[in-house]
Amino acid sequence: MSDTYKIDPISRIEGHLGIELTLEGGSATDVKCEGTMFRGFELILQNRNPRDAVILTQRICGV
Amino acid sequence: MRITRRDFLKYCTIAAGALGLTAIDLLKMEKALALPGGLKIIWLNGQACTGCTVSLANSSYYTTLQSLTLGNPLLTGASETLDIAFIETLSGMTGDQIGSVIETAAAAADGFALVIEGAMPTGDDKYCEIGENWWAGSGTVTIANAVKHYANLTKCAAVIPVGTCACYGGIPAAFPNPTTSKGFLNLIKDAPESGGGAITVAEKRAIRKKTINIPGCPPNPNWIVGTIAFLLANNLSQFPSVDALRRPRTYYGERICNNCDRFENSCIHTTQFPRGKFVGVDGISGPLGGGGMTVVAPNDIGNKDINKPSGYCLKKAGCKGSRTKSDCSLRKWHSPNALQAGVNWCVGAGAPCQGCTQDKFPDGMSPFLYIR
Repeated sequence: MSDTYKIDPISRIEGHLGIELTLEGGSATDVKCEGTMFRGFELILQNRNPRDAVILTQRICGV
Repeated sequence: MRITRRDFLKYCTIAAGALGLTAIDLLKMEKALALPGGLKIIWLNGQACTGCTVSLANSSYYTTLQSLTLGNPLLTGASETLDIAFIETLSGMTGDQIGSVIETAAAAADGFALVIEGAMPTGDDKYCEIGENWWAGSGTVTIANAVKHYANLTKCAAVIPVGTCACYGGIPAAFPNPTTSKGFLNLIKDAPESGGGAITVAEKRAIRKKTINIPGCPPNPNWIVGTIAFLLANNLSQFPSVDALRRPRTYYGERICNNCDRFENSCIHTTQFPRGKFVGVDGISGPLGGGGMTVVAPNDIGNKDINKPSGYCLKKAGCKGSRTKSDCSLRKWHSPNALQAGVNWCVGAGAPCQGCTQDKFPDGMSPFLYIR
């Protein structure tokens, strides 16, 4: 008999994350991590002055 | 004796003691934090880097984050009033509990203020999902749906997008804007006016009236704290005076150049000839034709008595201060103690201003560094 628990959203982290955990008899048998946010930095950086990369990539994380 | 406008303002601010803050503002701040009850803050994160939350956490000029969230023991008998009911990065609750915390705060008797950090994508629901089943019929909650829902409630007294991303789209909305991200007021403007998830024209107008943008990448914590305290002190009966981009004029009223230490050293308006010296990282020296502008190498400080410690203007190195409005040059950053000016700021450290408080950031401010 397995139970599935979903914790979404996870707090006290940077960004967004969801975890789906399957327990069977007290042991975790499956875990799914869901990245719930996308911005597309790789696409944003294309076709720009390369020196802008410093300024833009530093905004990936503000912590 | 004739003094320049610049010098006159400098004397005024020194005399005021606290930069940009009059005695009346100080009293209002103390009064705001001493009121019982008060506005609940719901802080939602969209496509955020969390820099705005970190900036708030470093608040020290007006008050610290501890005082804002846990109460100020120095104000005897006063309960903390900046009740941040929910902020995900600092929240003790997680998962399903978050939905009920937010719904409880949204139903609070005194109303709530919705603070938004990060841009809101509209290209696909999956670009930013923040939870499930928060209000009746919400299903999977996306940031765009959540802010539209909460901002439209009558109990929402104010909407405060914090950071350039939440205000104007910012970094996620930079070309080619892969997720069709928008700032808050653009999201409201583009919302359908009929059908599912609609916001009527009258509702849009009402939402716009109660929105105060606090852009910056990140914004100075004082701007965030000062604006929220202003709302509290005036019991929500009054909103700060805002400009066309809906930014409070107190913090975003002046161009960077107006209060920049380097302006006098090297601005083109100096009466000394040759007129104006600029740092140019291509190391060109000597007059640059037309007006006798001189471009100096970065480590050429020239006459130490005049130019120390500020150095020359960074406009030729890529500084966008001349078209950026904010009080960074006056208030600076990282106040060591309450009511003290910050220890430094971007231009003071030799980094050209990126223009991060403007709606055109980042595409309109690119390229940031003029280096050959």
